[in-house]
Amino acid sequence: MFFYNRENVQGKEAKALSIILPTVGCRWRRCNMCSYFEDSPTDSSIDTFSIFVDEFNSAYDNEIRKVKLFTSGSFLDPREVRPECAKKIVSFLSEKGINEVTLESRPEYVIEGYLKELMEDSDLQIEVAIGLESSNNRVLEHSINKGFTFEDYISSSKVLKKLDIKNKAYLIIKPPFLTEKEAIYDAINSAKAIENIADVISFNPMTVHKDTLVEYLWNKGEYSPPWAWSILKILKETSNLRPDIICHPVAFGRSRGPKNCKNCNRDIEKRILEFSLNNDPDILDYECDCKKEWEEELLKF
Amino acid sequence: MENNLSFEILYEDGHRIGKVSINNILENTPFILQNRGDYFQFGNITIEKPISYLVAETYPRERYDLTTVPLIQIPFDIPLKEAKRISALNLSIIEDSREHCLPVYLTKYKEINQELLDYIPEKFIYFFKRIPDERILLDFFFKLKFKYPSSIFFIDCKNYEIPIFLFIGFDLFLNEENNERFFKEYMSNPEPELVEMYSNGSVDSRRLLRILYKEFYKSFEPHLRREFKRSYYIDDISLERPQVVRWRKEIEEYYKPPTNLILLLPCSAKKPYRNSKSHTKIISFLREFLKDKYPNLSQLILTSPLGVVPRELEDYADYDIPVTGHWSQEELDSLSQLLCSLLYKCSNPLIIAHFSDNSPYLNALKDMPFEISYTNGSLDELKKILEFNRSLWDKESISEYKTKAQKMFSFQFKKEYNLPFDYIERRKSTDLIFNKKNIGIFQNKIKVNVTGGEQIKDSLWVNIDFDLRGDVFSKGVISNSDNIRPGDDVIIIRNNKCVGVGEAIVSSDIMKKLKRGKVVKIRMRG
Repeated sequence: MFFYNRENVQGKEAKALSIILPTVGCRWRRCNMCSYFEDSPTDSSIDTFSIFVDEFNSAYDNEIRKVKLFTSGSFLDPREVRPECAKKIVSFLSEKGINEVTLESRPEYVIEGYLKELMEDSDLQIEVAIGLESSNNRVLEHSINKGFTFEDYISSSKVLKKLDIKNKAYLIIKPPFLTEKEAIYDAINSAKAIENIADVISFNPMTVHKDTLVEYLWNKGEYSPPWAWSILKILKETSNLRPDIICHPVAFGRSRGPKNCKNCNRDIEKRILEFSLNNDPDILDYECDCKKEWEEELLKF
Repeated sequence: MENNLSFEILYEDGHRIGKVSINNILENTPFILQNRGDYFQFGNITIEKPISYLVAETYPRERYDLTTVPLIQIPFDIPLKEAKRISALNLSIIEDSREHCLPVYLTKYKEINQELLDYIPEKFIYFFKRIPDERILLDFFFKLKFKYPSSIFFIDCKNYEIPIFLFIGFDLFLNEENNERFFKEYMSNPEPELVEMYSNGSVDSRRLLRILYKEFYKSFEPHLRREFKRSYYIDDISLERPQVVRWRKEIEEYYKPPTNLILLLPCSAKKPYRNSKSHTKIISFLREFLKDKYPNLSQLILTSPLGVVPRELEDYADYDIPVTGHWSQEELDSLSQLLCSLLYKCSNPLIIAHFSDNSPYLNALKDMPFEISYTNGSLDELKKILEFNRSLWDKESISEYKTKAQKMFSFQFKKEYNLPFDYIERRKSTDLIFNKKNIGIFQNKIKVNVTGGEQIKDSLWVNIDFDLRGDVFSKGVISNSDNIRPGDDVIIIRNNKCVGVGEAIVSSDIMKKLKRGKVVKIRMRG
């Protein structure tokens, strides 16, 4: 499976190709909001590389400068993507003249030796995206059950820096057990905490996945995804930070995703995507009647 | 907690009126708090809003007059494993906490709530949420309030539920939407009929009140005054009102018809009944016919929702109901049940029912396990029955007013008395007499003096061991009888001697436990 989007590639807006690779999926599988691994094939014998090549060939056009590989887990986990396969993918992209590739990984698989091996004989800029979610260990442990700490992320970041690999961090907007206001605070606070560590910060507003704790709470009326107003506020307050700030909300305006009201959802989504290209905070200035409701939500405790 | 922090109860009748003092700032409860972002404004007092433990470490927490323990907000409905995990963490945070206030997060799991109740320390304010399960909410609230009666209770609820939660005994609410209107409306006329009316606002609020009435009588009733002032029973739910249930229970427990010749009568709109047209007529007939033997006839007035009002106690029953002639099965059942248990107290009673042919009361009597003579509303018929049973009344007469006084003392002071009390209606007052000595007056209820108190010192009493000079404070109470309700007349005893009489401010179960404040307002010292 693949799709395209436009994003900032090495300072210029360019077309990016995202490919979802079938792997056995994430080894941790215990985060309270995630069920991506449920889409992973259980058959571990599939030939990931040939599937990747097929997908790439059918999706490729010469505008594409950047490729993002999603595995619903960690590309750098050798049990998920075997080292020889990973290496072949990197070399392949390098040969095709792609400038930059984004791989996702949990911090425990960011290992210096392994990354060096992958990067041998290629001038491809690698970006490793880590789902940090929050810089707050209490949120990581109790709200998300992430299975690693902020300190683990810092250690991995040092490895990335040493190898000149770009560091992209995913931060979550509104994990469970936080009020809307606390969630906004935690997202901004997390971004500030990694201002000098990450090169790109990607905010991920919560979407309700099937068969997760978050879905259980959402079904019982004990959780609702964030307001789009909250996203605007977070983006605005982090727009002046050093890293590029991006946000590509999933299921925006849908019942399981972040939203405001029917009148402003579309406009706001467009603005969020536009902001992600240029980080111009003025794009985020917006008014709608539903803002009052959000302000009331912020008073809740 | 610091010592310059205190809460004192000044009045309770379901709802509580109290006084809060913090660093010499005084505020009254109940109160509507203003929501100010990170804090609540309680008059001139600021209270930190509950903030999640998850973000509390770095969140810029300002210093407010009252601080709040940061916990993880456990959703009411969450998988058991998660609930246990978070609850254990919260308990460990609570254990080390020094803050003044605590949010109470209840879950649908009994064992987890019980654990919280077992470990919960005393805090100045508890913040409750309106969880969807009323049973769990009320159960926890009443237990916690019983454990820490000197604490203050906040609840975040819908505006139309505010009168109910006030009535239940919550002290603090939030100013949003038109909460204040509902708050003021109840506080300006804090009567149960208003609560019952507002409970009609939604399914949830009606369920809340019904569960309160049906399942929490034991925890709630002790905080309701036994005030013998006019009550209105408008809604069907009034039949279950704790004050009504209590009347029925107490009549059953503390009243026995003085003779075994029983006349059952319908109630009247005018109270006391004896001043109504219908009752004046029947009473003057009876006095004329029975002459000085009139007191040998016990009169029980049947009514809803109180069930039975004995003639001697009619001054305690002032109420109004919408009379339609239609009775629900529940009304009929609870009436016959109470009447039965009173009749069982008499040996071989002769029961005469004086109701007209198609009176709805007859339905309540239909299935009673007693033989009943019916007059069909005819005085001639009544005369015939009385004539026929002359032996039951034409004998040495008991004293009408002595009996009335005895029955009133027994009912009001919750103990059966056979003492030679007497009751005299004078020009300006109604006096109660014992051995020719004045022992008190009747003014809506019996107000005894110290001489009277000595006679009934084993009824509603508070035991002290200091020289009584002013009122009695919680710290001065050594022990007290367990059936005192706020507003009750109580006897102060010291070394087994009545040293004063007064009016209880709070119910017996918290008198000794309160950390501060008056518990009996003294009317007279010996």
